[in-house]
Amino acid sequence: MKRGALTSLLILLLIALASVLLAVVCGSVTLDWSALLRDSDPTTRTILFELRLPRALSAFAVGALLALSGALMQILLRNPLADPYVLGLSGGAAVAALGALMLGAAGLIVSGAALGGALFSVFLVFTLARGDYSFTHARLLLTGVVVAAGWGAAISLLLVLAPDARLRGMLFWLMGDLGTAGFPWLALATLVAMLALCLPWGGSLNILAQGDLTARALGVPVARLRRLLYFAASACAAVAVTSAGTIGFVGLLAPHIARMALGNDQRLLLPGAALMGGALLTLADTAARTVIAPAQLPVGALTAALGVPLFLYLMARR
Amino acid sequence: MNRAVSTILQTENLTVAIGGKSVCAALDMALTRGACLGILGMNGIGKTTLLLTLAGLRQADSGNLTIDGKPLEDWRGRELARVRGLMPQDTHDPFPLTVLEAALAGRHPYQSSWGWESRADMALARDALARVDLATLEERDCATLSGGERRRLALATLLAQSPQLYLLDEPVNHLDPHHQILLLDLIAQECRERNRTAVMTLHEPNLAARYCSHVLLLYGNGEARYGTREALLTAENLSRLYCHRMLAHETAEGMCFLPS
Repeated sequence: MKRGALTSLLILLLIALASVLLAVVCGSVTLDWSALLRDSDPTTRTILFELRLPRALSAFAVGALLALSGALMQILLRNPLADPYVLGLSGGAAVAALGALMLGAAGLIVSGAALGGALFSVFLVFTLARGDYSFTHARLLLTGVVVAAGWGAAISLLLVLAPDARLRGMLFWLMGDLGTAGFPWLALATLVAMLALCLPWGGSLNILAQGDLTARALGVPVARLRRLLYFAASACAAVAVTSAGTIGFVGLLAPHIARMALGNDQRLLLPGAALMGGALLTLADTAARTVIAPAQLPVGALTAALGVPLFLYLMARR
Repeated sequence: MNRAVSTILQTENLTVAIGGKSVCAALDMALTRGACLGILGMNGIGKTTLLLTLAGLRQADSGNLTIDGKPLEDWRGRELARVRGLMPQDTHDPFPLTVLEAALAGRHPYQSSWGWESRADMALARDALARVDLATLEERDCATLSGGERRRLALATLLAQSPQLYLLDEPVNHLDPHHQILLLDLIAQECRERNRTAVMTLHEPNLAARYCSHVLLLYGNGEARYGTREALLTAENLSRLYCHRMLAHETAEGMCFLPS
């Protein structure tokens, strides 16, 4: 049983590596690979190591973070429809980032605002949902959904009020854009740290997925584990949104696609979902910047274009 | 297993209430190893609430609870899970889960955090599934099981957990007569041959008469009567318990109670 799943995980790893390789090879400029070996062409080196590789790794890290966040949220809420944004985190980030963009800010200030907005929303929902210290699924989900709805209204308001000159940039941010990301140290470090934090709990998460009462009866520290899940999922999503805006679908689809391939054992599913999400977003981003090159499509639209048919195909095959 | 403490579960002055309604007031009870206790009472009287309290999963309003000679508050979650196990009333899985994976959950208290299930864990889970007649379904998704199969699977998980104290919430719900007897026989066998102790909530006084050595009658006003089956399971007591006249009939299988 486990051997088959480990093979699937290995295949996912190869797909992920291939997607990053493809992203490095493809682009509007055809690279002369022999020049690279001779070490005599600074343009090729610049394109490769300062543009394409950082972007490919950004896409991979952001996709993996979103998928990991989605997988954790689904266990936290015991709901297969949960995604990284369901509790309002992306809304908080978007309102702050769009506000900054509207005021003419760019670069790090927008990222900082997004991070601040995301963290604010995370603490808001946590504080409100705790209330009587119960932090139950229904209460957490409802609090999050209502807060998200509030942010949604604020986003619409900002878009209506924004001057036309800023509107395009704001829309691109909302759909997700990897073009502005530098070398993704923060995203990669967060990914490694959160995987390392959550994987030792994999066995306990399997039990938690069967319900709080069952888990408590089997000695799982449910309250502590659910707080860990909430903050790990939030940290992943916050860093992803800060790096690349609110890219949709990856956080919902990647965990499900991984689940179809690997089953729901969290010890395999968490790394599997991360690899799947990373590969999916890297491929989508490669397509986004090559299909109508030199112009670029919003990557969020392409994650849906890739992910939705793949998901439906896998569903139909079962 | 030869253990110093012969009392596995003890309550002193235990008071439990839910939603302003008293389930039991100042209950004193001591269960020895090998005993089988049935908790009886009308619907909504608090049988499950009391069972969860005895499992240490719900705070009592006052009083002390001792499991295996150690006060409840001194137990750590994982250690306690090796000593007492719970079969909850309803299980529901939003995610795919195979029958074997569900049974393996019972081995979780014995695994280290990085650990995978060992060969021995697998063998114990498969053995438990065979005992409840589910061996052929181990690769099936739990969502496709019938209500009765789910109850048997829940017992298999508990058997794989192999605690000293079994706490079972309506173990025979959804089960046909054959599987009711199969399941209760298994629990009785655990008590008799392995000196395990069982506490179960039951709707059917005849099953309590057949399987339980002790009963706890919950009347709903805080009154809780604990004693041996012989002393407490009478037509008069049951008539008062269920607010309905119950008649006792002597049969070849023992005493049988029927509503008038």
